[in-house]
Amino acid sequence: MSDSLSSPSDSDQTSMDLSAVNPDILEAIFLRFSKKDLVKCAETCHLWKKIINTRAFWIAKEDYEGENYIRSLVGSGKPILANNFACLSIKKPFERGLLVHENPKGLNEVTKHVDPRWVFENGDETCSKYFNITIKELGLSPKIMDNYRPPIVFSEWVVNRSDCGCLYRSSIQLFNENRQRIAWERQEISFNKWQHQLWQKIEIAMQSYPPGARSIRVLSSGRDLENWQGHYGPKMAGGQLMIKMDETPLPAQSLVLGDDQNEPLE
Amino acid sequence: MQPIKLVSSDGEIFEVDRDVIKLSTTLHTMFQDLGIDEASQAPTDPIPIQNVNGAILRKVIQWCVYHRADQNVGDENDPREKRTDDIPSWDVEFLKIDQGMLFELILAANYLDIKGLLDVTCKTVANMIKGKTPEEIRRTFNIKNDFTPEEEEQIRRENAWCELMWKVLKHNSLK
Repeated sequence: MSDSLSSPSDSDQTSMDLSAVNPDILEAIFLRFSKKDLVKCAETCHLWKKIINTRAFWIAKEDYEGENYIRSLVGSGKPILANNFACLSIKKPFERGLLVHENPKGLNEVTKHVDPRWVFENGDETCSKYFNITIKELGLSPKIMDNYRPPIVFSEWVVNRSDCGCLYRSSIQLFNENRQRIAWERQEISFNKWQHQLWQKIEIAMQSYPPGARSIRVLSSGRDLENWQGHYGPKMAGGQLMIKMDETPLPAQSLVLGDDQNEPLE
Repeated sequence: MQPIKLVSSDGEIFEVDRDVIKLSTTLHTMFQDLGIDEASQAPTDPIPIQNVNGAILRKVIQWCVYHRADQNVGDENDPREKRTDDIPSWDVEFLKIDQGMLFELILAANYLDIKGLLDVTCKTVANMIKGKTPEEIRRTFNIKNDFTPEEEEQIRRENAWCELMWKVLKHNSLK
């Protein structure tokens, strides 16, 4: 350390030379950088890339920030499916809810667009909502999607109106880079007229799907069974999407489904 | 409570109160290991701070004197410490020094293990490169680009989704 201490400012009084600094000092400095700037720093030279792109560094960075994400993944005992720890720490793609689930205003007032990514649509008989997320945005590389295919789980709470029967249907659909649907999984519940109102949690788990998934579409729809005017269909709340950090087996056969099967409710 | 004498690498002697010295975990631990507590007689010989020269040690002591009564020293859970743009205004003024000196302060804060000083000095450096491109960061810190064009391309491709993700983060954090 005494070497670097001698006089780093000899050559230039106004610039900071970090080209020959002890890695311990560099790490201390890096801990105080923002995660975004650290990604850029790792692109500057081999040494910086080597210091920054390690699991130990990102655990230290999270400790400094008061976070616990990578530690909790390591502590789960499961194999970590990704080696880009910067991306893991920034995007936190596994084992947590990926949609905004609180009421965004933090007030008692309920807002329809809880997660701003939901798109709402009104059909003739059905109402539906969907979102499309490109898997890259979640921080999952094509390698992870092709080699490990982690389970994708969507859950949502649903309830009927007691004076009208209704139908609820929800699906997870996976698309490849050519926007062809390569897998889908769906669930439906129907409620009878005069059935007690009781919120139910439905969960769809995409456990086995072919390589090549590049985007996810989640679609929930509902309609009443009496064809009444007004809001008699199922109510939906607390939609949540989670990627599990597990490896799934390949499906028995992989097929590319056509877009014609895209109808949420017939 | 007698002050303690410190001597810098170039022989300059400073008298420092013990509650000021406490901010340095290195010195605090050393005193504990030597069994010197607040009740005991201060060592008569000045304690050599071998890696820090007089100009820097004066600056370090000045910072410690100002922050001697801070409540949150060493509090790892203080959320105020987490952001890089929340340097207290006194420290901002204090750190209006040339970058060479700022760098030496970082080395001294690291050597003496003064967490608060290390935080504000490194955050000052963090602010220098906030939002900059890799090339601008290299220029700021005199870093030589030792990647081949192929490697650079590869890294850019791997980090391509980093560009994308900030937008989503912003999206997610609207509350």
